[in-house]
Amino acid sequence: MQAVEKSCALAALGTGHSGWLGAMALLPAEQQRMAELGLTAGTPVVVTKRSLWGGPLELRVRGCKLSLRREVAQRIQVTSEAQHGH
Amino acid sequence: MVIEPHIPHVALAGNPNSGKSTLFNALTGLRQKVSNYPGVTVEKHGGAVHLPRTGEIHLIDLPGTYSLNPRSLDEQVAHDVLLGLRDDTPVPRAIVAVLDASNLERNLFFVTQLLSLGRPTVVVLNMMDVCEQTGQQIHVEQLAQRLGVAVVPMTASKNVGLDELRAAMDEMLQSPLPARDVVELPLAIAGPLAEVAALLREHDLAEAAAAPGEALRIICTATAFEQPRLAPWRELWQPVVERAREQLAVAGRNWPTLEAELRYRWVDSILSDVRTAPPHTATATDRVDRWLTHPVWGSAALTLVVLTMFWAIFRLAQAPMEWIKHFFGWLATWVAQVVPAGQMQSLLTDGVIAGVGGVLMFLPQIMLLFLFIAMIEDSGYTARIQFLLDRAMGKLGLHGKAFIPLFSSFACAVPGIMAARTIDNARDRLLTILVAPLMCCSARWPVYLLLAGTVIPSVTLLGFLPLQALVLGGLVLLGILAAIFSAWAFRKTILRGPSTTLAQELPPYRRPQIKTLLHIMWERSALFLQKAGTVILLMSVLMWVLTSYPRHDAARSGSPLEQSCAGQMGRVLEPVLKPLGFDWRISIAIVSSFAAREVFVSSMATIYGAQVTDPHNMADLQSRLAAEKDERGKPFFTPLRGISIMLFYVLAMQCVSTMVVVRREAGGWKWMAFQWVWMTGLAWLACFTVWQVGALLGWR
Repeated sequence: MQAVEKSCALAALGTGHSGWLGAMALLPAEQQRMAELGLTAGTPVVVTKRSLWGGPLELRVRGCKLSLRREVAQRIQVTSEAQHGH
Repeated sequence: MVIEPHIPHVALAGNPNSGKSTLFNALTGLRQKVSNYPGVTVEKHGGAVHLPRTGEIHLIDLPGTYSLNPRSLDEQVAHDVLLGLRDDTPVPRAIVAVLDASNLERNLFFVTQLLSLGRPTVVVLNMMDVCEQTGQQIHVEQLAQRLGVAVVPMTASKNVGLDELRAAMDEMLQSPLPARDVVELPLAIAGPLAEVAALLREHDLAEAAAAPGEALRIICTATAFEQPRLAPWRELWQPVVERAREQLAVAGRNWPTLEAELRYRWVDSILSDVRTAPPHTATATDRVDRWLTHPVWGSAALTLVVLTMFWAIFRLAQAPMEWIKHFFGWLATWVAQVVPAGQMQSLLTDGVIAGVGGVLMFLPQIMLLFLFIAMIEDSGYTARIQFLLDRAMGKLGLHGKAFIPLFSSFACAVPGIMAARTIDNARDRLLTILVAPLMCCSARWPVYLLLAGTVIPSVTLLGFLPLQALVLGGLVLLGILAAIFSAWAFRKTILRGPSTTLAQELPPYRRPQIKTLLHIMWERSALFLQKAGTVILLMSVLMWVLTSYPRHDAARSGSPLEQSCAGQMGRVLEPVLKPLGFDWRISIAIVSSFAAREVFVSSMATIYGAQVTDPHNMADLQSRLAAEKDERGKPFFTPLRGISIMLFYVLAMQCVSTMVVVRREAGGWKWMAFQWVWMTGLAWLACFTVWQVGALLGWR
């Protein structure tokens, strides 16, 4: 098994999976607030839960739990380590 | 800039959920004052603290803030106070920065921003007990050295470390040392940074020490010039700011996230030196959340919470409500004995006591609601409700956090509207406030019970569904549908645009402290009494005058109420209300219940000369209404007419307390007036349609 890096939207990351935050296709002011909350580029993030009916995602970032709307999570890129052959 | 007052002002600042208010309460005890920042709906908490050497100081508890770059009204106020931009609040001489020790990384970000203000600062490392529980070790000395200011470890909820903090504050005020920003500003934009900083100083918009940090924030903030204090300088400064952003782009830096990246990089660089933490394991909060944010169990738990709330409001509040009613009844009797019969007696008993008593009767319900809401907010459950319901509420055009305000409004819209404060986004908050009074509140029930009991046949459908109960259920549902429709209509027109809520913290659960809960309940109830009480008193007197004057003239036809101003207003309004199926008598009852819906019942009783001893025994009035005949000799109160009246009460804004609170919470007369026009307009249209269509179908 070989670890490869793959890039996807945060919303596409499976529950229980982790990755590193990348670029955000959000307005400058939105990018700024996300960064202020600790979601800066390169920060490790874990998707810990998903709410009902395509509701928000629960994340763990820098030791705190955040809930993020799926529409927002779709606009955030993450790099994750995908096990080859999965 | 504000002149520094005689007593030094110190600001208490920190992230939301950092235990700031607990610390504030522990430091000030009962010597605190709650008011509102003039012009905005943000509560201002201030209190006196005695320090051994400095003597008395004034501590300001600022709203919880994630960043000095404001995103909500709360954050704007915190920002403005810290920078000395509010005329109503003296510029703080020093800052107490509160950190949640168990959430060091994100809290440190804001603390470094606070240091950049260049004010003498003490850092409080709060919630040390939580750190110990999770096996985290914080090296206080190291942290103090890195931050360059005193750091006091403490557990405010257990009063641990208070003396040490007082000593550190004393020291800070006795020999003040300005804090210094820990982050080095990027050389790539040294030129523009210095230019903006110089402009800030030149125009007295920032103190010398704070100017560089402010300049960096302006460059990183796309909306900087939308701030009122900077707007006038847009044309002059924009070129410099644009140049800085271009230079950053050339250097491969993303300008909106630059400040946060610089600060978090600094935090990352010191973290391993100041904290020893075991790898992340499931915390107590995680274990609780396994249930409470679970799609199935979480929804079940929320249902249980809501049902408990309602049981308490309608069961526990019943007895105190009776006591209040009896008290006012006794008071009226006593006044009637002491004050000689006449207009003065009537004003006091029928006007003031009956009016104020009628509204105060709901106080136990309101207080219990405040208590429950405080419990939900303080424990950290609000964010979980939002997590569970965000999608479903979003489909209805509402914010996930609108759930508790709207649900509370089923008992009373007043606490519901006040609870909308937890919604940080101004537009979603306003939307919630605008639709909350459409929920079926307690005061509507007497009206529904009177009319449904009169006009709806007491039969069961399919052998088990009582028709009257079905109609009542339909009215409640109709209120909900009207709220959803209104929310949709407002979103499409006056409150357009996407919801700006990005990320929401799910804070660790905290056991709410009884003392704090009672304190919040008392504070909010007092605020309601103070604000609504005076208006209710005035309205009660006004309504009494309208229903008692001009005085009864035996020579003219009609009862005293008919001859009164209110009676005449009923007559004047009759042409407007007739198309809805309301005659002048119903119009009078509607006019007289403008201040509070339940007054409809007592007005109808007066008009029809019936005795109503309590809301559960309206048989006398109901039989009189049922006996009323129209010009054709058929029953006047047909199902259609009754439904039209009930429909009016579902939709129309007939509550002065709510209007007073809306004016306060939505920030002005404009929204209050708009809401009145919208709701009452909606009521008129709905009743008109029902009555006219029903008439066409021959149901009149």
